[in-house]
Amino acid sequence: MIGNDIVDLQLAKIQSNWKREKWLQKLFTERELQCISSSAYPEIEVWVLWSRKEAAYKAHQRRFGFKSKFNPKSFENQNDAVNINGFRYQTSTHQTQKYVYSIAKIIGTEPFSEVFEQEISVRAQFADKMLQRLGDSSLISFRKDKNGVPILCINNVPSEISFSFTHHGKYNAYTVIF
Amino acid sequence: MTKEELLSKLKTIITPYVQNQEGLQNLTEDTDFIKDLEINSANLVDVVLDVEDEFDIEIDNEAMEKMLTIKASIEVIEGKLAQK
Repeated sequence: MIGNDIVDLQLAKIQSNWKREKWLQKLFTERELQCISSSAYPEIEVWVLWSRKEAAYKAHQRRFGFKSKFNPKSFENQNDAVNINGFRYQTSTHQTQKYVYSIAKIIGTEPFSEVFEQEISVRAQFADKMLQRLGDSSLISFRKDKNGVPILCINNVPSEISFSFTHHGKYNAYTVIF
Repeated sequence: MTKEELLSKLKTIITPYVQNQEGLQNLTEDTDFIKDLEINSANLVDVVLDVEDEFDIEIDNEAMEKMLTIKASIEVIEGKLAQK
């Protein structure tokens, strides 16, 4: 299972004031707060840790199919993994001056991922990629499960393929385990 | 405070974070902050902090976890106000 999350750094600056009183304390554990305060670039560290938590949340929800909840402190960054109730997701982050992009995955899986630096339909890009792999005669479509998680359908049959989309500001990305 | 007053205050709080204005126009108790209003997940914490300030209550982690819909948020606020 897999999850991803992208943060447009320019938009994040407009949307969120991470220095707002109690803001960090609502989102991060003590251990994470220490990482932020000891970082040379605390603002970037905030978004790295946050995107990893978000990515892990998505992977966890895809794995266990629970109803959405807002419990960011239940997910804790521990080195290059996020831990939730004893379940670990390996995290990796690609960071540029424009965005922070994190993927969380179950240990032992090898995801494929693409980032798009423009406003395009990431869903269409992903569908194209799947067609390349499956053959052009396949019919690709998407559904959502009861929790709002997208499911890839091949010839109208729901597949088990694990994937995740993310969008923020100017940036889009998908990741998939083929 | 009546439920209508509470809903009106809550609507004022969430408005600056809403990215799907259509969702705001069609607001009901079942409106979901992320799915229907497209509030950025990092902004959910701003909604929680604004609610704390507006109603002078403290939202703990357990209560915050539920605050993803209008209905659930109203329940949380009413519960916390009753404890005051």
